[in-house]
Amino acid sequence: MADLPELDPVIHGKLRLAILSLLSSVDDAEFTWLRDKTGATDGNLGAHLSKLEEAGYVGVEKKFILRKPVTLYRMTDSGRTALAGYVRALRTLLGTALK
Amino acid sequence: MTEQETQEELLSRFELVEMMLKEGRRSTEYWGWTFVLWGAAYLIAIAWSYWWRQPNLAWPVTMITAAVLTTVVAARKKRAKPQTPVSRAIRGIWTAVGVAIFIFCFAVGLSGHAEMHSYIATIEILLGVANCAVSMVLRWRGQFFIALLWWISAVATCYVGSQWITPILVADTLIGLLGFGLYLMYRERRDRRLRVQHG
Repeated sequence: MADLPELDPVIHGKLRLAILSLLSSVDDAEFTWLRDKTGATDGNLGAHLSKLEEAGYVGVEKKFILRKPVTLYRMTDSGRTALAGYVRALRTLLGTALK
Repeated sequence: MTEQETQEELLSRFELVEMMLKEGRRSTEYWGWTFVLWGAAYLIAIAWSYWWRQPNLAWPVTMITAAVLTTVVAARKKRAKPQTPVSRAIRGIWTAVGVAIFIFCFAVGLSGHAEMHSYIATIEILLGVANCAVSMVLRWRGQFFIALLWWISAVATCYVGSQWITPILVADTLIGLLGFGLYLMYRERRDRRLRVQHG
């Protein structure tokens, strides 16, 4: 029997998976947009974003737009690779259940 | 945890990924207001150049004002919503065509070599190009018809007598900019209402 793939524990949490999936479809996103889309609280979202940043899956950029400070989150290349790997592993584990 | 529970849990993760990807891509920007703004600017410029003082200033003043307004409002809106590759492509097309029209108008206007038929026809061709490119990005036939309208008008402008150039441009502006912009704004409003209803 072939070895079953392991799921990346950093991404496996629901909120972190939601954040990465959202970031994979946009160039970058503000904290408030991520909060609105995920329905998470500020503290919870901030904590999970920090975990993703520590893992190198999300990059943070602070800049001024129209003189207002803005924090932008962007998915890194390794984040993209990790999400693709996670989805691949999910597909393998679920097998026929997806059909 | 039973095997079935584990499988349900994994399936819910898979559905979450799909849902969030769809949600991210749905972050469409709303651009109807720009068509209305530019439609109004064209009509003001045409009216000013016919019925008000300093007709030479009509087009430069209204076009620069519209460009500044578009840039400022778009920058404010950009803050609220993240860009997707599609929205970046649309922004790129309109910026490139907008800059091209500005360069063309100022170069021809300042050189004094403007021939009205080809001058207006070129602007109409360029507006057709932008609408056609955006319709291809969005795969939207509605906007392709607007591109066709501009191109047909450009051909007509080359053939008609001088007295018909302005009426054709006014008709194009009313349909291709003002009317289309109002239709887009109606669709965008409906889209926003539906999103609120479906949470």
